[in-house]
Amino acid sequence: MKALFKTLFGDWINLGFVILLVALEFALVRAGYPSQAGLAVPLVILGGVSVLARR
Amino acid sequence: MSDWGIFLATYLAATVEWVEAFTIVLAVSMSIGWGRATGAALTALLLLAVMTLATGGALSLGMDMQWLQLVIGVFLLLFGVRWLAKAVARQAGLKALHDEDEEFAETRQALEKGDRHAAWLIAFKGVLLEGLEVWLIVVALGMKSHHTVLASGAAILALAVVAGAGLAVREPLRRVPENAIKFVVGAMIVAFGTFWTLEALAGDAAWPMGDWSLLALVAFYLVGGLGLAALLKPRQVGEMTS
Repeated sequence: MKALFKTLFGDWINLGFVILLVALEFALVRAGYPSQAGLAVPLVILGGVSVLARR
Repeated sequence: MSDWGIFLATYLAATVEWVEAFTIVLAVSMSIGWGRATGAALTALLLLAVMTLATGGALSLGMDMQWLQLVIGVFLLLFGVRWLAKAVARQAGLKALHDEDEEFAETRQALEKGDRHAAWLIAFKGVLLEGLEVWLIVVALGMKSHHTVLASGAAILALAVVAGAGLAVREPLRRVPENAIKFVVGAMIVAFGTFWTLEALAGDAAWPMGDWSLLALVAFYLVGGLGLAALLKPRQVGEMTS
């Protein structure tokens, strides 16, 4: 079960980061900034990758 | 870009996973012979093929396309972010490179404790778990663009190449540049995940450049990832004191 969770989701931090990311996308789109979301989200992802890489 | 992008991303991702699976099967074959080890691997592959057919059919029948795209995008982000972070950490020297010889030795050590049945299970579970990632990528990349056959073909081609090379040398495939492949695949999968999640939520408004945005995203994550790796590289003591 643990191996299956790891295969599908990585770990809790990885899963939490992606959930936050989609929540951010949803908030930006709802607030009327869809094209700005296309610029902001990749930067946030790269920031997240930087944090995850250092763990 | 989309067709080639899907083919290339699936092929490269599958190559990395099949190399790891081959190492496990090779180690097991030394305990229970090629016949039984290959039998375990084929059983796992058969199960994965059935899963691909079943999920492909179920997903295309039962779900609203927008929701399907969002779910697929989320899974691609889950994979891509993890792969890219791991590749950046290894490139920067923060994490040791994946070592097929070490994996081989660990599997051999695990085999010493068990019987023939346990060895068969190790090969089966190894191929199944590595193959699950391939299955997810095939389903995710293939479903959205109705290219399941193309993605499956790429995964099968990767399997044939890895199995052919592995059977020819009969030792762990340590020369495969796994981290470089993981870097490229991670960037591609994150790009697809970013594009599809946002498109599912906002429609065309999110990406005014259309499919060209996908190319721009791949380039951004590749260059950004390499930049991060350079930034995160620990400085040498000599450099810091001078």
